[in-house]
Amino acid sequence: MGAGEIMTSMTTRVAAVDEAPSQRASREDEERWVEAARAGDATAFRRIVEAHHRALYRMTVRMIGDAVEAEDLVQDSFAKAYVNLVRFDPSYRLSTWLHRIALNTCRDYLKSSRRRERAEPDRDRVDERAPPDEQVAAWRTAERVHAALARLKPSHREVIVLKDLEGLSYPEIREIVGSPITALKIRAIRARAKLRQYLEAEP
Amino acid sequence: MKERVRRWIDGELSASEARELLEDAERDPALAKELADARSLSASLSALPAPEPPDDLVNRAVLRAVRHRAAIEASTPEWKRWLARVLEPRTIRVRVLPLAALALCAIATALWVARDRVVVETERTVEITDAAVRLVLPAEGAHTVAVAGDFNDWRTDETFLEDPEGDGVFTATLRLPPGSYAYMFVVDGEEWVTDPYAVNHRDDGFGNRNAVLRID
Repeated sequence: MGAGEIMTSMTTRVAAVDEAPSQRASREDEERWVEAARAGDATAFRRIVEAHHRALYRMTVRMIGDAVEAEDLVQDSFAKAYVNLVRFDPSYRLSTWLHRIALNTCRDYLKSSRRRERAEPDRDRVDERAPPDEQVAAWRTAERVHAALARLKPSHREVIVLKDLEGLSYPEIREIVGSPITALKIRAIRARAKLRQYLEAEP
Repeated sequence: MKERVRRWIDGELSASEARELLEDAERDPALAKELADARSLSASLSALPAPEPPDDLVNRAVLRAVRHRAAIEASTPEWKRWLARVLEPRTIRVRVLPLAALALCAIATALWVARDRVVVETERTVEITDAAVRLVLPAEGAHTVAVAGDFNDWRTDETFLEDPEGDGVFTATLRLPPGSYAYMFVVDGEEWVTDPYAVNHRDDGFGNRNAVLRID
């Protein structure tokens, strides 16, 4: 594999996590929705939810490792967003702002007693259309990675989820996580090393 | 070395820098292992299925957000709540006998102070009460039926209907001040049901019809 091919493969992986074109909204659309939703237009807010709920759900499931709880947390995140839209600075990207709210919701959940009370979280959903053998293999691989991810400390998991799984840029992650880019890059090196170590330890 | 590998993984190296890195790896087994590990991790992460949200998540998220915002906006500063409590409709009973002496004194004083203008106040009982509203929902097989609406900040765990006969007909009597209130029934904590006997309705903007109580 040449360097060019490797570069291409990295870019493809990142692009794969973006929303489908039909689900993308233009910045002008979003500005209009935000303005209307601020004034209490629930239909405009619904457009915002439709455009961003997949990304927020994905990030939340991967951060907390529990698909059922993630549904609840995503609803909480949007509820906070709707109340706080008046404070949203339009010079930032709406998706970054929503991710920050959702990440803070995840952080609160991870620190809460509610999380400790749930003994067996429902992890990721595996594609049910896959043939049984493939489904089992995919499930096992996903379980190994999830188990390793779950062992990471939250600040390391944040970088893996946002950078390696969601494919966001470091400037975007800086806005979401609230850490300088240099610190994030160092954290990425350490988080990946830890994740490799945990993956090798998984049966 | 680690920063260089990170830049490679994150796609920050130019094509020539990436080529140079791979050439270096051919001569450096430690670097070659580092690249192989990084590639292996990348493959493991790529194999993760992307979690797909359930179909009704948008509806639920919007509904919760709208209700949350309505509840927040309904909560007002302490002094406003105090004022609302003072002004809210209530039963006021003025007991005549204990006040009789005071009233006579007041009348005597008034007569003395304004001998040419005699004013006699009559005592009265003022009674302003909330209206009683009876809600009924036939829901055979249901364990709980709650009502959530403008009058309880759309809480689903506060006002419950009861089924004293055990025949699946749940009822509750609410006492509400005059006004207009949108509401829905919540069966077993999760199924939102419009009151089948409601006369007035209001669209909630999401394809559902809230029942509306109007108390004049």
